[in-house]
Amino acid sequence: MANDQRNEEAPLEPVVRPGPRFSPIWIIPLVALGLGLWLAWQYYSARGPEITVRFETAEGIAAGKTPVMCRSVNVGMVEKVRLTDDLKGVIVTMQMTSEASRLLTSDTKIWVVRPRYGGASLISGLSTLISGSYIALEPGLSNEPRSEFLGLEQPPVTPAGVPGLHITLFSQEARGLGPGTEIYYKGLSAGKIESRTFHADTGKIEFGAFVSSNFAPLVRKNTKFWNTSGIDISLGANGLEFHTGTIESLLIGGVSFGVPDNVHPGMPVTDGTRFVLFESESATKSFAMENGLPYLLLFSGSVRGLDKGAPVEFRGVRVGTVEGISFGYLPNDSERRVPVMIRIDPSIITEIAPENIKAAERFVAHAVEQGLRATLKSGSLLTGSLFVDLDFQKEAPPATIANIEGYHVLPTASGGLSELQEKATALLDKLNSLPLEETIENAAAALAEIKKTAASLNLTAGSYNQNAPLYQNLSETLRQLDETLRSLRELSGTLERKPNSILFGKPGRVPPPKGSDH
Amino acid sequence: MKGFAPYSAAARGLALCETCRLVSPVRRGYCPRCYTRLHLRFKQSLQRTWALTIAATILYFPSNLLPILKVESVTGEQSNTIISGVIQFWQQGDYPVAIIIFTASVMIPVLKILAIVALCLAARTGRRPLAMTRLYRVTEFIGRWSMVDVFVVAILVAVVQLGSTISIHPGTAALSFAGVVILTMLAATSFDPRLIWDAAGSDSRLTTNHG
Repeated sequence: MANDQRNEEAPLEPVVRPGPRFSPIWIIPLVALGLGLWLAWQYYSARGPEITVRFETAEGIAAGKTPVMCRSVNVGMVEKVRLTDDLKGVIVTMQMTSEASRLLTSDTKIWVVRPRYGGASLISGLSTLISGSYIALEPGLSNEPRSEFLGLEQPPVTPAGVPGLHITLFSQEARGLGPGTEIYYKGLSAGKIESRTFHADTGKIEFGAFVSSNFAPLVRKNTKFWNTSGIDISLGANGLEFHTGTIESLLIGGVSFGVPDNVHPGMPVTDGTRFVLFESESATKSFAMENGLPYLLLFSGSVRGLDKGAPVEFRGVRVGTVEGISFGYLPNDSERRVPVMIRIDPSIITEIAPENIKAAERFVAHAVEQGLRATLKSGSLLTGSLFVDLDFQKEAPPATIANIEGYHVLPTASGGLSELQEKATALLDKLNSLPLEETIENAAAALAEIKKTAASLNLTAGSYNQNAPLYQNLSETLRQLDETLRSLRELSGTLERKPNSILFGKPGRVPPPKGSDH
Repeated sequence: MKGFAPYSAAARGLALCETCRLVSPVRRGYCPRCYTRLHLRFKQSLQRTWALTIAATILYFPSNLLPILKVESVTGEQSNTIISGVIQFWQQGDYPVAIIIFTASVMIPVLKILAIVALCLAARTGRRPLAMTRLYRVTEFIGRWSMVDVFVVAILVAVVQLGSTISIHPGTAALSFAGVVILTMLAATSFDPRLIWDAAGSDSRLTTNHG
């Protein structure tokens, strides 16, 4: 073909110039690789550790949606929520950011922020009504890293880093106190109750409390804490006393502390020290039972009038409390004595460190050998209430602390009302044995005799009656005597003026001359 | 001529001007009409295609693993990867949307990369040149449509900016996803389909039909 011919005229061998072996285009995959690696590095470096937190419920927590915040800064995201193996809780897996790794130490606190209402002081998390719940994290002070946590069900009241004192208060009743309750010192807010735990085994309620650093030095060994909720009215020697805290504490409760008058404050305390929370300020003046030693008293008489909570006194000073009266303590006692459980604190009487239980027990044992006995005494004649009195009794038969079924049994002596009863009985017996019949007969005879004498006396008196002749004669005689005396006076007057009248007779009435006396 | 398909222009030393499309002898070195440098085939076609495909493959991973969209709203910040978005649409029952996103954003880039790899291999082995040429056409056509995702992100970011109420930011994946799409498009254009026929050589349709 013509065309083919023409083409064939052209040089058939094209010049094939091999280009450079490697095209610069390979820079692009290198750049892409670099970019990819950089993105991956950025992503994984921003990813911090993964942690798991156990909560009771996953209310408001959603995987991939719920953020983890620390002081409102996003430090992670919930990645997975699943039930625990025992189906009693949930385990929330969270992907933390890299800067969060330092926050995850053994004392880090993690809780869910959701709208809460727990009394006026505990309205919190209102912002989560709109934004949804989030998980809050609060760094601790420890350096020990950790990746498995137990979530708090209640948000902590005070951040861990705030300087101050963390102490434990415990009481028998909550009385409206709970996390968030203010602690006051002289009316100033000094701290807060952080937690409330009920110990079923001891029946006590434990409060975790925080006192800020300004007030921490004021908390000493002898500091007393009391509940200022409500109104404290007491009728005492000073009349009617009326104590209330602030209106706020009146409404939502409060705790105050202070050192009682005339008491040395004692040493400063450390974190974790335990204090009794008294139910009122006046109760702080009574007794703190937390250091008390338990003793069992066995009374053979009636304990009517002795109540749980009644004081145990040593020579009028309260050293303990009656904890319980029940046959349950010793159900197999053949004599059916009434077991009374008391708790006493020997450190009130002597210088013993409250922690030194052995020394305190030795002290009591020694005192019992010296004659210390427990007796029931009447505290108030009006109400008939009894208290336990401890005192040394000289003539008491020797005794020691017995150990019956694991209880230390302090020997008792009959005293107080029961002693009085015994004495009264003895007196009555004595009276009974007297020869009363005879005495009464004698007395009756004597009385008859007396009657007779009285009658004769009456007769004697009756003879001096107005109408009796003797009386008439007597008055006549007296009248005559009176007349005689009057004439005698007249005579003597006359003789004085005129001594010669005895010789010349009476000249009739002569008035005395005027001025004769001058 | 060795290396080129018989009956091809290259076999006769003729090259197509890449600018003005004038066929002239390659020996001249440049186009007699527009003075563009003449090449028998695209310059370093296979090398470029390989390089761009590998780069696209590398970027494909971050584009699917990293979040492509960050939504900041009152309820907090939420970031979504392509796959998590697809799963969300699927769970909400928007099956068509989920399928479209999955096809356009996940499947097509993969298929495109696989197609280009297949073409590059075919340029070496010369097997089934006709099918490969068809594949090349499809690949080139599809290229422009896989930018849908990037467009969606760009529009959302531009439109939804309501301050603290709700605002949308592009994630790192958006950039790498755009990179994947652009690189695969470039790879497709830098591939010279004539190489398939060159490699096919004597097995080519022209030879069998006319030889």
